[in-house]
Amino acid sequence: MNKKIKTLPRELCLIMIFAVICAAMTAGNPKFLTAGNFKNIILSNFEIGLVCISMTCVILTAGMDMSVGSITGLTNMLTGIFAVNMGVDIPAAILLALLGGLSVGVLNSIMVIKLENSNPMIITIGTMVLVRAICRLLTEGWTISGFDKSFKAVSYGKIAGINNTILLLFVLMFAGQWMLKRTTWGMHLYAIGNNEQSTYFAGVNVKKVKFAVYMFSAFMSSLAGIFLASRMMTSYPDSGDGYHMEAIAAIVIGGTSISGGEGNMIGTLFGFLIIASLKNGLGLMGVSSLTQMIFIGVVLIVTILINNILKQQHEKKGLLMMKKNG
Amino acid sequence: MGKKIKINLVQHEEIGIAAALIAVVIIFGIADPAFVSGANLVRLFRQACILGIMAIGVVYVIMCNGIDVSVGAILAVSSTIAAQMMISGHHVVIAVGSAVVAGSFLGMLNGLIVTKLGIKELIATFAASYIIRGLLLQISGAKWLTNLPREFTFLGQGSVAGIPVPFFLLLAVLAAGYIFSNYTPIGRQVKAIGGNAEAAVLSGISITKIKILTFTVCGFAAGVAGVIYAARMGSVQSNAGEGMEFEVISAAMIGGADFNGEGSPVGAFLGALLLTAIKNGMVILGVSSFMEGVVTGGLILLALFVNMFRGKYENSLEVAGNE
Amino acid sequence: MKKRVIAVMMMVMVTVAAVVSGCGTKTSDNSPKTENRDDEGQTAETEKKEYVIGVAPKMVGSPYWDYANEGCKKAGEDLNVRVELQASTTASAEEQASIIDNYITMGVDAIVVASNDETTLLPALERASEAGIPIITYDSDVPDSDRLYCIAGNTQVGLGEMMAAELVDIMGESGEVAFMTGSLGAYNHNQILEGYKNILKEYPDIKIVTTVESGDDQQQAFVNAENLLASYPELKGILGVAAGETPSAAAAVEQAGKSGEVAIVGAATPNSVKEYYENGTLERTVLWDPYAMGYIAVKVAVGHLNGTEPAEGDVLYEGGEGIKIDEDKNLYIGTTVFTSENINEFDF
Repeated sequence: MNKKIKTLPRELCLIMIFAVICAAMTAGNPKFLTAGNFKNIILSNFEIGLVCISMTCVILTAGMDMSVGSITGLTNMLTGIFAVNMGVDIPAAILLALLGGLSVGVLNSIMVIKLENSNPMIITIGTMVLVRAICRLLTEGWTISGFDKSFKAVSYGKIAGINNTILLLFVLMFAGQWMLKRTTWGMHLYAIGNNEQSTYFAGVNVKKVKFAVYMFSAFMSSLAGIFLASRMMTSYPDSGDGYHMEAIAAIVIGGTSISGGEGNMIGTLFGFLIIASLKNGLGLMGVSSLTQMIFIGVVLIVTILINNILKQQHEKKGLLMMKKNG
Repeated sequence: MGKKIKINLVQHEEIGIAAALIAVVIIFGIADPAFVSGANLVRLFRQACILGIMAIGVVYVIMCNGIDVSVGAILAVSSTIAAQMMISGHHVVIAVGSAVVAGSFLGMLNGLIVTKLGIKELIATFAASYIIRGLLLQISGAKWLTNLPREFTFLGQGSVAGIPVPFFLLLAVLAAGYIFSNYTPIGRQVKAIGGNAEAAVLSGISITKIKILTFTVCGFAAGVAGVIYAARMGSVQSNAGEGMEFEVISAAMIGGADFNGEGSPVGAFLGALLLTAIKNGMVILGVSSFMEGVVTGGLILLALFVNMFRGKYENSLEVAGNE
Repeated sequence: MKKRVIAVMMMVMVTVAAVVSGCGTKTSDNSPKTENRDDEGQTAETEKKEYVIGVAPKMVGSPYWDYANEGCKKAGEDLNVRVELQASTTASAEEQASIIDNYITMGVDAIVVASNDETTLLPALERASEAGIPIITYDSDVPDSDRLYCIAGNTQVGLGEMMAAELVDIMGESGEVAFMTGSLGAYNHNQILEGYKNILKEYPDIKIVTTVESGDDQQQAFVNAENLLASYPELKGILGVAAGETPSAAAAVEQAGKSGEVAIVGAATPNSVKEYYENGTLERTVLWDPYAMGYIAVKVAVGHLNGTEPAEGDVLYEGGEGIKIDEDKNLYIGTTVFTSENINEFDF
């Protein structure tokens, strides 16, 4: 019963915030509200969107993965090295790059599980620094270009007239939401985030879930790197820089709590759309990048405040209802 | 009795990081004796001051189960204020004072956002860093502030009896932190909050007040570091401190700080020293800059492993002791 | 039950939005110019409509770029065009590509861009060309695009070669040299390093001892320089790649008491290094006038829209020299070597 009251206005609120932002951006520049522009918004933020999906799952377990940007960079570079420098076929190059990214995931997972005393944040900061250095080491900082034209199809291809990536993003977001709310797996994520110890005692293999979630994070980050390479038709060592914080920001705006146990994928989707629209809209209005920073910081704080107020209200309601029912 | 236990505690927490530091110094020293020359060691200490002071500041925030990723932005503000005031002809004391006060104020704002507005630390300080940097660049433009007068740069470049001035500042901050952590009731409260927040509240500790305090201290430290930053080179660039936050947090955590109330200013300083030694050593040894990130990242992970073993060791000691 | 209905409703809404954004593309891509004219048609009474120039510099927030950006804006004022100026604060190629896409959406009349990476930006510029928008590059070229001209003092590699040549001139043809760069992952920085190596390899008695990077952090550059001076006591020369390296190196050399013993050459804005000329720590720095570069870039763009093309020897900026144009349509505005004799004439 409580859940219903909580989720109902929270998502509506996000929709309203998104609508308000879109209205404001359109007022600033009518070209914002064009189909072509929305396509741009999704296309240019697609890779971050992928990371948002897996990061939501990680954060739900009260964990954190700061290395997502670096893994993106790694697969981005590896794709270039295999496909261009070593002349491997594109599908094989993609596979090999994926393997590279996943191995970092294995590293993360094992360490998060083994180093129980340590916070996943600092563990993944370690891998973040390490992997980023490797990205630059691979080509001594040089970018790689010269991909076969066919590689463009990964990011720019269309299925039934709709861009690959737009389709993929929404499909994955909805699949993610379904997974969170309708499978035992999803249930476990929430349970671990809420109270790891009692979840463990309830018989759930916490280690297995954690392993899977960090592998999932590495997988999505790896995909992001590959798509980025296709979109830019280049591999560059600093690709994916800053993804971790952007993803966290989007997820938090969407109502997911950093301390875990609370949130969902639809919220993340809207958080993602809100930030992406802001960046794009402000740009179309000619707002300087410096002012954009201030805007985004303020919007972040305001939406979280709104989220918190809503949460408090509903907790009060819930308590009242509990009191009423004896 | 009391004093003995406290000394033991100190030995335990910092022993891991001290050992790592000694190991690195020995390895680098063997590879190139120039590393352990007196001049280089003095230089090393001077270079570690900025990172060290900021790491000491952030330790308390981390111990209370918090984090602050706006320290770089606060440093930029402090540097800019100090430099600008010196250029405008104010007295050194006023310039430094203003910078430090500004840093503390920003830190306090962070604390208020986290406690009064109820926004989690990571996001709150992330948003704050965006707002602070954006405002700073808007207001100050992106000008380099250069040619700062000698009485100011002395704070960064000068030495007294062969010991760099910034190091004295660091020692002062370190001493204050050490006394605070181990000998004041508030210091113990900070540890208690990290260890078990609910229990802390039940025993009457005001989490709000303590958290605001830790963020203010962190801002204060960033303010002091900002002054040294400007004084070291005699000029300030507009992107000062960009990206420093993760280095600062890494230093503190390598030094043993974690979100459960563990952590010490001494450890944070040693962590900063270690990271600086690596950078310094790599240049001296002629190792490619590319390897630096590999070594630093590897070291963070290594430190975490060591912490884990240390934790298990402590546990078994306790068990043995109780029998 | 209610929850399910809401969830389904939202899913439908968002899916519709996605389909709409996925399907409708042709309209805004193909006709930015006509849309623009419709909007402006009502207000423009004069014979020349107000052009909108989309300027995309490498970044904002550094003295060099802020100065160049001022030049662009001044050109806009002088020529009665509207200048849109957007850039990332971190010289990100990804962000720059998004900015170009935004300009296409906005329907700008010309794009003036200093690329953060010539291959990463290419797809975005190809889209601009498809939309019929002329492109001018400056500072850092994208040679494979349909850009009409590139305005620069020199190519990045050429700049590196100039700096290295000046260094050899000061320090002689033998000795140890170190490179200080901003970011080992930055394409243009690596090109400058390449320029250094091109020249220095001609001198067998010059030994390049190491390359250090500062991460574009002034303090780190300073620390690097300190460490360099300490580890290589015989060091005779330092080459600084990014604008922040040279002043930091100079400060370190000065504080180590080695002014005059270690030659430093880099690309730096005069204001950031004037003090080091006074005490002899620095003798030469190489740069061009970024203000003039930005100004000329916009001017050439507007000229093209009005049907005039630049010609060899034109003086496009008051007080500047005549431009040189090569067969690849690179427009060189001239580089200046700053010495103690002329450095005080400049204020940027």
